[in-house]
Amino acid sequence: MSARKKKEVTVARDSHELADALRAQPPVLDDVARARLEKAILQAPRASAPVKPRSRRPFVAGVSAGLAVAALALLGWLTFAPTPTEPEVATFEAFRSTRGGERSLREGAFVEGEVVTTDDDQHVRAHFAERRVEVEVAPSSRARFLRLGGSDLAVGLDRGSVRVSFHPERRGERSLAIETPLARVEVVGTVFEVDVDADGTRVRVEEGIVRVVPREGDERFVHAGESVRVRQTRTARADASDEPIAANASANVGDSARRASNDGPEAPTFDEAGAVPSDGPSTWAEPESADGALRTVVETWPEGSARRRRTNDETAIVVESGDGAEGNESGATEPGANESGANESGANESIDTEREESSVLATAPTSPEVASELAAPRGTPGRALPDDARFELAMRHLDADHFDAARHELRAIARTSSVRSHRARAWADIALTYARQGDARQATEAYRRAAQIGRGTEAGANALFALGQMRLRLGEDELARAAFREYLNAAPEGPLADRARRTLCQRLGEWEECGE
Amino acid sequence: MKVGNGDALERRDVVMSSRMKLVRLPAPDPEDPETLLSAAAGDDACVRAIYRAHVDRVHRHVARVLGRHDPEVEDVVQKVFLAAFDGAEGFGGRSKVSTWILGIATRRALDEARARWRRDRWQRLSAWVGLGRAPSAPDESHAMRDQAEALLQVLTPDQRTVFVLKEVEGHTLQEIADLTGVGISTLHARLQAARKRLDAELGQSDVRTEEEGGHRGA
Repeated sequence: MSARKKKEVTVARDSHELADALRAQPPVLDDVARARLEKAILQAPRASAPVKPRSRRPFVAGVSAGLAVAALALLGWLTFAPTPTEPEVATFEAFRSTRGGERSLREGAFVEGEVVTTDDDQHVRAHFAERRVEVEVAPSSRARFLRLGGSDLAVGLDRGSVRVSFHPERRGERSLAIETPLARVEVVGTVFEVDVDADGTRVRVEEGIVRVVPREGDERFVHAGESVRVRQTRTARADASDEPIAANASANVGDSARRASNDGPEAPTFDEAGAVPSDGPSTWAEPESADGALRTVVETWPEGSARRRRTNDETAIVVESGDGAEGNESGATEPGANESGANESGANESIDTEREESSVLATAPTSPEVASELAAPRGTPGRALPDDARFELAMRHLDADHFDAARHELRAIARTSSVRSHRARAWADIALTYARQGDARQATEAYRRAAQIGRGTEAGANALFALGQMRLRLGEDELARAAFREYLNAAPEGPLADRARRTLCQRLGEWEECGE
Repeated sequence: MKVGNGDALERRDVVMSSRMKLVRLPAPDPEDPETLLSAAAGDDACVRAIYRAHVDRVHRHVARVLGRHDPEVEDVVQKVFLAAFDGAEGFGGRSKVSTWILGIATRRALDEARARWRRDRWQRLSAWVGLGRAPSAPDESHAMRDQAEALLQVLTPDQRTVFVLKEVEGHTLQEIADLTGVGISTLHARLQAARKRLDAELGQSDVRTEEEGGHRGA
């Protein structure tokens, strides 16, 4: 007994030998355990791993937890904010404009990060932060509700207009920012309006003060009754006006086409309002400077509430303009004028949203049909495009995340095309738009239609595979199994056959598919 | 009005383009942060890629800290991966994915070891005052290959962790500091204490064994 014990204990004579002995016997995970673990990890719901406290003693942990809870409660009491783990929610009501006023379409709620896009006859009113913020998204606008809770609220405005009412309970307890392509509009409590259009970003303040911070350049405070516009113009001087300048091409916000056509360096500039109070009802006026080269866009408010700036010098406005270049914008400075106006180059301007979309879409080579289609305002009647051009157009819309526009084109193909495979393709692409938006249910339905229409074709088979994936995502295992089986029947040697078999084997328990 | 979540589709799910071309996507790179994010979003292929690439190292790590025969090892390994996927958003890219996961493994294993150490404190106290038997003391019934590991149980979880990571796994103190979030000087002190304790334990065992042998011989 003692001899055996001695032998066992003297496996190491000191800690170094002990380490050597341990190193010689590394723990090994056996295959069964490996597979069991893999399965458990794959099947475990995400965001469920328990986090254990790392405190040294239960007492310390308890005290720490108590203090933490007390601190959180105090913080919540001070700010009336929900705990950070709860998703911030905004309630909204959507309206449709009618002759007699407006009609409520629907009410609901959305979470932080949602994008709200309105059609030209719709507007949306959203409330968040305990209803202390109201954001009204005007027709033909796209707003992203970036942060709905906490101390720094934020809304992104890609196009169109929002009217914001922000009334925190205590001044300075929260800030709200409207992020536009050219500027960030910060506010601590006021009512104001932000427009993003072809001329840039315009901010009109009804109550309080907002701070406008352009992406490049110095910030400005805008008082009640005043407005400010941030836009990008060329930095060319008046004496360099012999250089051809693409006039209104420089006015489109976030416009890659503009950048492409206007190589000169650009910087956001302010066109500031309030310097010339006016009693007249006109909303925009453009006094010319002495040499006619510099222009300042001035907006006066009909209510006569505009506060005069302290001096013109104090609010000196940097307006960088080429001779004649800004002149082209005179029409565009009046709201709506750019919808019908023409610039010096003679090119007709489409409505703002269309110009923005066109510019986004114009980043890749475009077929003539698609180019002309992109140049036309959306909804122009009488378009007759070949399917290929429509597909290309739809994909460009999709690339720009204009899902409705993409579906509009694809539905036209699905409705009118005489080629069955085109119709199937269109439905599959419609499914893709829904899938990109995260709407698996609609995507599933569209893939089902694609598979139905394209039965017997490659397009139909592929739609079956995608249908199976979507069913799987929805947790409809039986329907997913049927879809994958049908795919394998339709295309047993297809490029996705291995993947389908693997899915059947590993996810759906079809053990006979695991053989190979 | 449309209200959408934006692009919520996983990249590996996009199998069809407008031309119905099917694209075979390359195998996910387990060291790519994108793979980690996709795994967190539920992409099974990415989950598998990360699991299969790192599971052996994570298991060895956890088993070193807890003990190779500890029944909690598998559980902790599973929790490590789930925690990695749940916390993927917090991966800052300052280290390799494998290093980041190993850090999670170290902390999780250490948490488990500390919890057990706390649970067993009454047993240790009883053994110390002469009532009962210390938990998990080196046991004669263990086979020789388990003796070395059983000896480690005289160490506290913190001492054991730094000892196995430094002396057995060959990490530097800086690496261990990165993995555990503990300062190097503290680690050094723990390592010295661990060595001293083990040396003492081994010396006592030898003395005790020789004494027992002597008595029997007499």
